[in-house]
Amino acid sequence: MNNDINLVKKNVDGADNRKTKILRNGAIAFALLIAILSIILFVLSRRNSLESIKKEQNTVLQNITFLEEKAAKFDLINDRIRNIEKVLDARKNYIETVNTIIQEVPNDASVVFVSIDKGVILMTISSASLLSINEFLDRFIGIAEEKHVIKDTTIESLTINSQSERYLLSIKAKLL
Amino acid sequence: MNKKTNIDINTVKLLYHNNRNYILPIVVILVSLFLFIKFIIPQMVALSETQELIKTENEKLEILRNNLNLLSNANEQTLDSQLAVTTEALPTNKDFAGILNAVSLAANRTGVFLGDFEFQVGDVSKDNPQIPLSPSLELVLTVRGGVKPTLNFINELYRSVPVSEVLTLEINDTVALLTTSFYYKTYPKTGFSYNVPLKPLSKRSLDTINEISSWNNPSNFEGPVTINASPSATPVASPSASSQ
Repeated sequence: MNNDINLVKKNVDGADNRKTKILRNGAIAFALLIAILSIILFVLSRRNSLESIKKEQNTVLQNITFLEEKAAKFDLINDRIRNIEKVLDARKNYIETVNTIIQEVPNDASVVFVSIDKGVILMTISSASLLSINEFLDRFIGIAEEKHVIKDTTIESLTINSQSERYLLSIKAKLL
Repeated sequence: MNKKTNIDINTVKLLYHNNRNYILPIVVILVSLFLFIKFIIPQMVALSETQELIKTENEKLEILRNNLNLLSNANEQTLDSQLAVTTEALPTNKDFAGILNAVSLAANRTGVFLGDFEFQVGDVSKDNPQIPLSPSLELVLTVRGGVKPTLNFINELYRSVPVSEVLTLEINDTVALLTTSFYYKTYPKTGFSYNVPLKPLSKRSLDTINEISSWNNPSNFEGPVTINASPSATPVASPSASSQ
């Protein structure tokens, strides 16, 4: 009989032992990993369940329903005030500017016409003295330069009323 | 060359005998991989989606809680008075009586006389292009009293409810012609939603309400407001008839 032919291994060497050990440990690690992951996923899916949140939402909603009238009032107030603020922000108030201009009219002159349309003021003053007319004109230009409430000032006309012997100055400017 | 391999039961037994230490770990690893791919990964994806959903629902819950808190703490009387003040300042419809009372009150306070006045019915449904969200009712009125009193009258009108704006002004000696817009706004058609966060009134809004409260309000005066009508004034047509 030939001794070289032997189908059954007689000895398991050290390398094979190591391989088996690594493989076995790897398998255990894999199985453990899967088990741990499964537990974590189970715990996470149980925690913060959607149902409990929905339940709480319904409870709060039920409580709010008792305050429906207050909620409607609150909503309406917010709507009103939002629109009022829009209007107040957009509306023009030229009265202060007109008052500022009128204050600059000399004592011996008087305002005979004021018109405001689309942000343009047209004003006519009357005086017996040309000096007063000139003084007003200087002050008007001064307002435009210093107070920045008007711009693009133009003299529309300077006439004399022969009957009343008074000068009439018409001046136009854009209101800012 | 065609080689044929015969595997009989003995060979299988032999192979099993030689590799039996590897078979169980490999099967465990394969099963683990299968479980990981087939169950763990889909579960992770599902969990992440659920977490997103939970986050959204939690946000909704938080909004609901805040709304409940805000409404519970809101004083009913304060809300009523704020609603009354703001609705008087910006009526929900064309408040002809309120407008006429405001004009009359301003005239009384500044000593000017009111001449003819007419509502511009044709423009009632038009929105003001400058303030597109607030429709307005235009009123053309004649005021007698000179430059200064007319300016005072406009000032009073600006401090009266309903909210108004003088669009054009023409003062000719003692007679002034004013085109005034009185704003109104219908209630919003979209209803209130509890899922939308309610915000408490800002400081600016509260200041605005306080300011409006201090304005001239014809409804605060007992009895009808009398009109300082000039002798040339013509009677006003019935507002309800003219609005048709």
